[in-house]
Amino acid sequence: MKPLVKPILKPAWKWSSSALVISAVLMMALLLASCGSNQGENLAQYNFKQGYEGLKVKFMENSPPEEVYPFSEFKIIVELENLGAYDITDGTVAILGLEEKYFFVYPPEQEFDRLLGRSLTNPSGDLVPKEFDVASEDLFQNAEEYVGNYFLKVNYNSEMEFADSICIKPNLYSTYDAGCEVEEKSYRGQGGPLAVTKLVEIISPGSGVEFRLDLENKGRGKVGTATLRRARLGNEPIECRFSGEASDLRSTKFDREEQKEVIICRKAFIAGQSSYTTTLSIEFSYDYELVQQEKLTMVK
Amino acid sequence: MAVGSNAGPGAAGAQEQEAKAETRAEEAETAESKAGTKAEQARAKAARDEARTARKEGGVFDKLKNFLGKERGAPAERTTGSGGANRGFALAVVVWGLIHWLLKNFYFGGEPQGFLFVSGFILMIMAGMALAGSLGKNYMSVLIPMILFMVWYSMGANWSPGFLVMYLVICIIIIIGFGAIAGREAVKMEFVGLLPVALFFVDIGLIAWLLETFDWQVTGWMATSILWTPWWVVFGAFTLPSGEGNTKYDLIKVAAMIWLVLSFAAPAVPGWGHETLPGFEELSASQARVIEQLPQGELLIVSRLKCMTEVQNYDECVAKRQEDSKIEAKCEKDELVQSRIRTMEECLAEEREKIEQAKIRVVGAEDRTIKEKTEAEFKVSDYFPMMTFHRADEEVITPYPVDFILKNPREQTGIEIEFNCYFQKGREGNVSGTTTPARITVNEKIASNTVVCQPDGQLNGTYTAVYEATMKNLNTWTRLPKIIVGQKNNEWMEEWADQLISAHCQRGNCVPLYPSEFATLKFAFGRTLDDPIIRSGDVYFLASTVEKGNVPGNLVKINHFELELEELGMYIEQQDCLEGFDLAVDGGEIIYLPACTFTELPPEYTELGEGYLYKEFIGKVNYDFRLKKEIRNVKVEVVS
Repeated sequence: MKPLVKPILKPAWKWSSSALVISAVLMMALLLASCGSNQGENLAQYNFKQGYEGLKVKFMENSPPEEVYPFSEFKIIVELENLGAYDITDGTVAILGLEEKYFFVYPPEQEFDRLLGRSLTNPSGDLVPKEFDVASEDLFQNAEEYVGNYFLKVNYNSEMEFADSICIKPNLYSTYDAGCEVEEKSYRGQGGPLAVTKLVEIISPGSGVEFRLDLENKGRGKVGTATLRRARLGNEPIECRFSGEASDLRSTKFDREEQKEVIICRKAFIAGQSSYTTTLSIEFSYDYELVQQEKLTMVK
Repeated sequence: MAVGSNAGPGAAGAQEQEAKAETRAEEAETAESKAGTKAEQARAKAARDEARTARKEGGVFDKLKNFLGKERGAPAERTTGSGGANRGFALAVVVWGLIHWLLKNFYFGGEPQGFLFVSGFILMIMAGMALAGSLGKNYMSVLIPMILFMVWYSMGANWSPGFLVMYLVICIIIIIGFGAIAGREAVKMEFVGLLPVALFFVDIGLIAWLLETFDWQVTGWMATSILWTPWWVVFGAFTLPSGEGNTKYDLIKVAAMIWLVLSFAAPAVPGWGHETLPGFEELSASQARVIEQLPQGELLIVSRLKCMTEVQNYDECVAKRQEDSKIEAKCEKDELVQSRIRTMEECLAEEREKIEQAKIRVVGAEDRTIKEKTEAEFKVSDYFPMMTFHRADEEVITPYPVDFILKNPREQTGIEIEFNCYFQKGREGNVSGTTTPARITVNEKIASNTVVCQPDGQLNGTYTAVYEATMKNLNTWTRLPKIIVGQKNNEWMEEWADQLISAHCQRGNCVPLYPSEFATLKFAFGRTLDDPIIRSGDVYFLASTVEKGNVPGNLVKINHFELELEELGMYIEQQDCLEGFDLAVDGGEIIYLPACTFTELPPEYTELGEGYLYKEFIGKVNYDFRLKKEIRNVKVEVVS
């Protein structure tokens, strides 16, 4: 039976299956393109060489267990994650201070190869687990428990690069030079625990410029020896040295407590120059030691 | 009665003075009314004012002053016996003091008793009265400091600075107040009043307390004399009136004097008290005894005075002077020195070495991770017959059962236990007993036995039952934490030492840890005994002791001890400091095991690179211990 009234609304055109598929693909492409382009743009703009993050050391969950029993075997799994912007090389991780009468650790020390730092191509940084096999022995006599404190000690080598635009103004008191201004600068890290924290520029009119950089360890570990690899002002090399050193001017052993050094860089002027902005870049290599106290508890 | 009779002369004087002032004032008023000229009137007015002032001064204030401070009678009056109350109090102090002394020393046996405290307190008050009477002063000024002192003492003898300041201020106000009213003489008397207070404290044990607390070096006879002198009697005797008509009181004073001479001077005089003159040998022996009783070494007070200039090392200076003087005194008496077999210097050096050895005491701590310890006890149950009766003709002897419980959490096997018992009764000697079982061997975790003690003879009276359990082949272990760092420089040590000690040592002390049992083995080694870190290149000292635990009884024997120092043991030449057998104890509570030194360390302890080792060395001791239990007041009554 035919309807008495014609439908008022009637689709002007009909969805074909092919049109549906095409529009879905377009939508998804649009969606993906929009997301992808944002992330790529963010990553491309993200400066990995900032902050003080370096190697993060943590245990894998339940390795070791919170409590262990006598005559049992378990693993201590240490996760080493490079959260810094520079590669870590020649690393060792060791377990120190466990009494063999209670816990036998094998091997007590392990090496690890290069751990890539965070970058555009590796935004998360490398992570590597290291396993230590542990066998618990018996408790002392009829003791209820034993708490073995120990140290997890990680040593590695790494690098750090400092770069910033600075103003060179040979005629410091020239009233006709309306270029850049010399200023003291502070920094919040270059993507590793070793960081340049302050830059002071001292102009000697007609003579040259001296840069004084504070190099500090801002991480939880200790910097052993730091070495100046390459220093440039613009495209030209600049003479730099550690202030306290007398013999090897390009390398210094950090004071274990203070963990702070000063680098002095000097450059002579070419007469008659007006002010200009250029880049000061210095590269360092250093060895680093991280120690953290942990404990193993054995119960009856 | 006492106050009235003594206050008489003073009060009469005051009344007379007041009456005279009154008369002078009345005369002055009459003269003023009669005076004609202004000058005469003015003179008369001045005379009236002066008289009124005199009348005022001779009023209540003067009465109070008289009551508190004025002498109540001339010394002549006192000697002639007008101070009847004074005599009464003094006599009471003598008599009561004598009873008090007899009860204290012969009935209560010198034990502290509440009765004696109350008796002493009353004697103190009476002594104060007698003293005031003897000096012809009013009682109040003597009693005030006594009251003030006793109030402070009854408040718990509070030494806190805040309280003392407040209380002293109150005392000073009271003393000054009385001084202002009664005059300077009354203040003097207030200090005199402290004398009976001091005597009261001497009576209740101040001297003994001072001797013990401050280690006063008085000779035995001096101490005995002080403690045995009936101080209240002596005090009372010297407050008795003397002079004409008081011959009998003078006799009491003489007796007191004789007592003092006998007590304090007799021991220094050879031959006192001998019925016949002693022979030369006896004299020499007496002299030797007296010399032996003389102070050993320098008097502490002398050492303290001589070290006054040593402000920074005062305590060390005093200790050294004391130690040196004692060593010298000992060597002076040394037979070998006297017979010139060895020199004084050799003797001094040997004695100093002995003292140094005695100072080597290893410090340790209880291992809190060991909660179940080897323990034993005798338990007295409700079935223990604390009080029994038996007929004289009855031959049945009551058995005395106690429970013996040994907790053996480490399940040591072959612990042999021998039981023993006896009954003590004062000086009458012991009644031996036979135990059932006589011995047991424990292999299990908890051993519980009833030990029955049967007296070998019939008991009669009050006894102390003594049970002993000699436990043989008991073992205990000790662990000594050590941090071995090998060849490290000072810089490394500065950076790491504290961190390592904090991680591995309990509360910063790497001391031997042991379960708190009948005996403990304490051992330590290192550059110093308390240095937790072993670093290459030092000279190391090793010492160990076995110490009796905080358990009633005594160590009988050390059967075996061993220090398991692993690789390190091979580098110690003197092996007797690592292991020993069958060591005598001789009743001591600390047995010093052989000590030694060593300089070399095994390569495992030296070649450690940047690392270190944490090790726990184990020590073990096998010993015999005698556990003792005393059950007091076991009464046996014989009935007919």
